[in-house]
Amino acid sequence: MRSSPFLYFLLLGIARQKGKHIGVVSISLVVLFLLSSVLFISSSLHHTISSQLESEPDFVVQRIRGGVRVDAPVEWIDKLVDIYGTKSVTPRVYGRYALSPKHEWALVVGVDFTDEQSHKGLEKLIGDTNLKQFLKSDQMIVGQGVARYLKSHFYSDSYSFMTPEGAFKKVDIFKELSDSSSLISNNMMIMPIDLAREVLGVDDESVTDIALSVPNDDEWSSIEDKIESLYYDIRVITKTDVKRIYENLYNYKGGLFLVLFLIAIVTFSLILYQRYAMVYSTERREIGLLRALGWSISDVLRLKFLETLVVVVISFVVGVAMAYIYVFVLGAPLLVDIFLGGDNLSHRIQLLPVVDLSVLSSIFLLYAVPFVASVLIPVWRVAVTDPKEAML
Amino acid sequence: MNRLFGVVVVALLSIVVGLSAHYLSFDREAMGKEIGTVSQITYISAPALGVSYFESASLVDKDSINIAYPEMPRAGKMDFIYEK
Repeated sequence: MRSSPFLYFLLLGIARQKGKHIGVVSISLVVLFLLSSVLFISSSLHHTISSQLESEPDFVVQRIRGGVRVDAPVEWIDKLVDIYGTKSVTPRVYGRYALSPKHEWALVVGVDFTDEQSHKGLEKLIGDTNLKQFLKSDQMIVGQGVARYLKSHFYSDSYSFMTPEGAFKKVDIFKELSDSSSLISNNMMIMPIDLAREVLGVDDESVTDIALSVPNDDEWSSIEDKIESLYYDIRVITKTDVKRIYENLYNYKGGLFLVLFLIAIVTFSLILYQRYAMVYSTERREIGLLRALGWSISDVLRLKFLETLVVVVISFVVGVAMAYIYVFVLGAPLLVDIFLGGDNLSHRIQLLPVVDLSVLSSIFLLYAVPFVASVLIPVWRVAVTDPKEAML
Repeated sequence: MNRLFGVVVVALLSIVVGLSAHYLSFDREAMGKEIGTVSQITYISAPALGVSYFESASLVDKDSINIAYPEMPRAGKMDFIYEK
């Protein structure tokens, strides 16, 4: 370092104006931290949901009355099985249950554990615990959000549901799902299908909706038409519809924040420009002195460019690192509620670290280019004036 | 002064190395496994959105509220996942 007088002079300049640079770095950190946090949350949710949607059933069939979903009759299952090309036709029984009226809602999900796939899944979920023990009485597995709510209301071992008939149904809590699945299981209460029917008031001849798969993608549109022509009050939702809606949901939110960021960065640049446009007399004198000592305009610009670059790089690395820790280590408290909603059961989710290099480079360019421009333009204006005038 | 900048450079490099190590060593498989298992037994893989009880639960409401940006969902449409 000592071998380069230019570099030594550059570092000396930065150290001398430490206070000014710390102020600029602090404002930059706030802007970069917020933008990076939002983009990290958005890309993580997008990635996780996209990968999970691959295992989603290709079609979901519902019954609609008056524009509202109502329970579908079980005989629809046979009709759907008869359509050539359909596979894994599965009835689903689920619904929202008010833990506290108008405030906290859980999603009660009934699972048919006699189904081989569900049985194997349950074995994986409860690990080395005895499966028979779970199935022998009224028990349920709850997500972390539900578990926290129940514990805070002194239901640590069991919960008494009120059925639509007004009777109480006591169900024991068998296991809590871990935080790693909270993104989808936070508000879930998983229980055997017959118990869920009782809690939700779904009779044996009805199901909430029916999920099915069509292995051949080319047949999707024709099978969708066939299903829709079966009944007048049927609604078919395809996996493509669901994917499109999620894309819109998170792009809309990410896009909204990007617009806000652009407004913030323009304001930030204007402040910087104004700050440097009124270059203090000491700085004007410094530039004039350098010019009088024989420095060329490009030398002065190079010095200021490198000085700004040091500030930009420090701000960028620290700002992005703070956002990474906030989102992927701490779980983005408060900010994640904007994406997942904060009116219902509280979220404490573990977000999958996803860092998209194109997003990072966009952040860097969006931040660095206006910043460097807002510093160099006023410096250039001073540097091209006569040194005598500049030093006045 | 040179020492001060040396410290800053080392600190920045440590941050980059530390976060890279966290990113690379994160157990993605374990996390995806439990979400996958829950999704496998419930046939539900939608995120557990914390929405209010009064929010719309309709997926097929295709009316747009913004002519310039018809894809923008209504504010009360986050609840659609329960009805999909």
